[in-house]
Amino acid sequence: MTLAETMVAIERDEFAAEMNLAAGTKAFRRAIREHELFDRLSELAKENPSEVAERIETISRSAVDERYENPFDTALSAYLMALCDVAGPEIASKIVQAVLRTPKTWWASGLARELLLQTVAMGAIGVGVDWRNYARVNEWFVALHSSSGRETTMRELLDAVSAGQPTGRVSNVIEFPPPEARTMSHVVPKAFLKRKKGSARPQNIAAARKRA
Amino acid sequence: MRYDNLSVMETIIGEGGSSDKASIALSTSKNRRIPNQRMPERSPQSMYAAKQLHAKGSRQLRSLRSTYNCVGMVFANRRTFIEPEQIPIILQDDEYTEVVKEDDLMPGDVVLYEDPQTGDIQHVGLVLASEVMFQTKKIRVLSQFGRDGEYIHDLHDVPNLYGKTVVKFYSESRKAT
Repeated sequence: MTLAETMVAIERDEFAAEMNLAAGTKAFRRAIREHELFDRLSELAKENPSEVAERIETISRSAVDERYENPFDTALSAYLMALCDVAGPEIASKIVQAVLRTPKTWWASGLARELLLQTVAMGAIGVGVDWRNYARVNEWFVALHSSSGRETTMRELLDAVSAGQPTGRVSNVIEFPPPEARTMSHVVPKAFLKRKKGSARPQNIAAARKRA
Repeated sequence: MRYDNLSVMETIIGEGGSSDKASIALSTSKNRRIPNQRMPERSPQSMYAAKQLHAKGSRQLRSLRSTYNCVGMVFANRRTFIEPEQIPIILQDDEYTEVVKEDDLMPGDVVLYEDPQTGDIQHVGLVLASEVMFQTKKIRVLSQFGRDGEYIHDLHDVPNLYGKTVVKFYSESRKAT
């Protein structure tokens, strides 16, 4: 079976139906990993990761019926899992962003968000934790926290993301300054900035923060 | 650009929580929030493929909707997706008790399909009927197969994807003694 044939089989409704039997996220990912088509895909993706990445890009640009879930949702999840097993953080972040641009995905976008956070954390905090063992990002974050051997708070993670964004180049790769170069920044929630003058308290907080 | 990405991060971190727009307000009877997410509907073609795959044996199709999972069917009135990891909390807060004897089963009781090795809950459904036919106990269950539709089926006639499971029954019912 060639890579193209494997991808055709993975994109069929039958594969999606089989994988969507899973009761939850953990079971869905395990079901994909245990499927023989995924084994084949993983082998072939090692030899030709760019073809799988191109397929993700193509799917991300294709039109969908807004009434329904993206028919490639399950296939995209399989491609993401296979590629991220063999690709480095830079390629991973590119394909993750392509998946996040793809409309009406559910399983794949959940997976992509977690991978994005992983690439962020690896770049910013320098702690690599294998996300595949964890069903949910909160679970993964607890593991990240305990394995880092130091205090790594959710706020720090958000600050790292905040500091990293402006340094991103023309490519979609998110780059982060080293931890020591980061400065603390406060995030003012959008809702607070939008308030009218009548509801003064939140604005005062924002103003006080600015003054500080 | 910067803020957009931060919004994404907040969604990731609070996924399924009160700040997640895809979730609905849902709590246990002790007021603990149950994380959940509403899912998009799958296309009719995709659901037809699911029907072709599962409507066999003792299984009788009840409904082909994909916006909730088995946990959402049992504990959230078919409105949302809930991770199976939340079930122990729900059972505890809602004061469910285990029904040890099959003879004590009543329609409406909850049946859990657990992986005997890991203890992970693979599937959940509702007991529809429990009756003795020709000296054999027959239990019929209503459950949503993942996102592939609702079926009425025999207790042990579930898809192979759930693997070898042990069944446990729970009931919230109270009876005057």
